[in-house]
Amino acid sequence: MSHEPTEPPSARPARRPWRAAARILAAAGLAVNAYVHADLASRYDPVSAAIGQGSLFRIEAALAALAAVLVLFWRRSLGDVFAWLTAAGGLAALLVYRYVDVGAFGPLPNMDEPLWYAEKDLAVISQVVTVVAMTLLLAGRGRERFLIRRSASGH
Amino acid sequence: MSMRHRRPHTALIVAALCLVTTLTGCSDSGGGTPSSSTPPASASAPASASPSSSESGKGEVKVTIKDFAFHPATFEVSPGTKITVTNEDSATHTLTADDQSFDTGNLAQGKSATITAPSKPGSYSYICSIHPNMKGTLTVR
Repeated sequence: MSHEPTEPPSARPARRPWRAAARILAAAGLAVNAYVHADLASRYDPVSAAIGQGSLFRIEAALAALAAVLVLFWRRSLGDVFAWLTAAGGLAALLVYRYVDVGAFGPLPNMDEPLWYAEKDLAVISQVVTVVAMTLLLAGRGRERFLIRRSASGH
Repeated sequence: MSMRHRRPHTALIVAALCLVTTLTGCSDSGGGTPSSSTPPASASAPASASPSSSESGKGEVKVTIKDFAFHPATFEVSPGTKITVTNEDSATHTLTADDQSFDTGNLAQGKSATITAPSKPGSYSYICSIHPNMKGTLTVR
């Protein structure tokens, strides 16, 4: 009755090819998202309340650019979660203002825009790519931690 | 029997419709082809009602922005015609010529602005500068 020791999963997740691909995809999506928002910001400056829509676009662009750097070079869970939140939050806001006339809300201006156009399509695609890639990465990392913990406890 | 009684009514309705159509056609035909016979001195607004798709004539023309579209999007005016643009959307819009020859500036919900049609005849494309896929064409004749 020999007992085969189970090999613990790799402690270097970034070396797995699919993870590297997911990181590159996520970073590319974030970069496109940052570019589109930075490019459109000045157009939306006239839409303003306590804060302007153009300023919100610049904030989204800055956050997405920072997230792209963190995803590519820092490669920590915190950075990955930050990237996921940046893309998912931007996507949620875009879809809400596309389909629901929220009106001005608190310090936010009325950003209602029931339209699709090329740059908006591009922003949505980039955000969806980022969310999917980051979800896979985070889920994979979570699964790996679970397996390591389970093998360490001897189950 | 009852069917026979209805026929005169139908005929009357058709006749009335024809009359209304004819009268409407007469009143419209004056603005269809702008000519020099129309005295330009008066600045009254014969075209103050929201036009459907195309409009011509002097005086003041009204354009409404609603549901992220211009109504009418395509219309004709004489040189120098005053065009009042009203935004009925909750979002801010503009009516801006591609060549910047006219521009309402930013119009918040319920706001209006009056622009003057260019003095040079021609076709002028315009957009909302915030939402550039809102498009229209102003023809000056």
